[in-house]
Amino acid sequence: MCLAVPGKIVEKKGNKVVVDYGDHKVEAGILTGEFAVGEHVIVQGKIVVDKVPEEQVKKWNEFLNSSK
Amino acid sequence: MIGAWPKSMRVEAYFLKYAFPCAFITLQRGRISQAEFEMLERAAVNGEAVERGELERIFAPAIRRLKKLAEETGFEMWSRELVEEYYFKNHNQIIDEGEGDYGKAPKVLCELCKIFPAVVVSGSAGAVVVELPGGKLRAVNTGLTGALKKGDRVMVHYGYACEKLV
Repeated sequence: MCLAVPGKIVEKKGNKVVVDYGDHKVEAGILTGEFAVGEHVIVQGKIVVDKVPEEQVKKWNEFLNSSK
Repeated sequence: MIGAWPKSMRVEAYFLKYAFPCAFITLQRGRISQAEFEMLERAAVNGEAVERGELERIFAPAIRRLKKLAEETGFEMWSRELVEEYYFKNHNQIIDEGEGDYGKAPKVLCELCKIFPAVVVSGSAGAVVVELPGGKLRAVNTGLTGALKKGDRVMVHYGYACEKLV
């Protein structure tokens, strides 16, 4: 199943963000869309691809932890 | 809608162009190592084949569905026709039907997992913005296709353009 793990934006400077996954952080660039600190996003290949609504993040993380 | 990768491309390499965006997630979810991910990335970018046994192990759910589809359609396993049938049609249907984890995942993740034709609306080195069916914009990497320009039509999977359309 290719279903991703969302990370949280913890820093934003212009089009660059830092995304926190709990055990590590990654830097990524925004090419399109509006993203803010505190929002959960999917990052691939150092670009922000999409955001995941807050209420869905918690449910999904619980599922991922239970299926580890 | 015809993909631009030549028919002479090894089918394992063609499969990897579409499957590679998932490797990012299998890495994230701890199912493959960083070294395995880098091996896959190198092969996917360069259009090189990876051994079938490796692909069958790393992309087990996709391979299971390809085998089922081969039985249903009569296309040979590891044929270009089968991989196209899977990624252009069957794959999105399976996600919509909510098979396995898809039924439990946020809708936005399922949509990212689907494969769509899209049009490049602006570009920069290494990544472009594409317009998806319905008008939504998404940033995607161009590492698998090579440089893209405005107006190019591509197939996208997650945060990657997988193949140019001609």
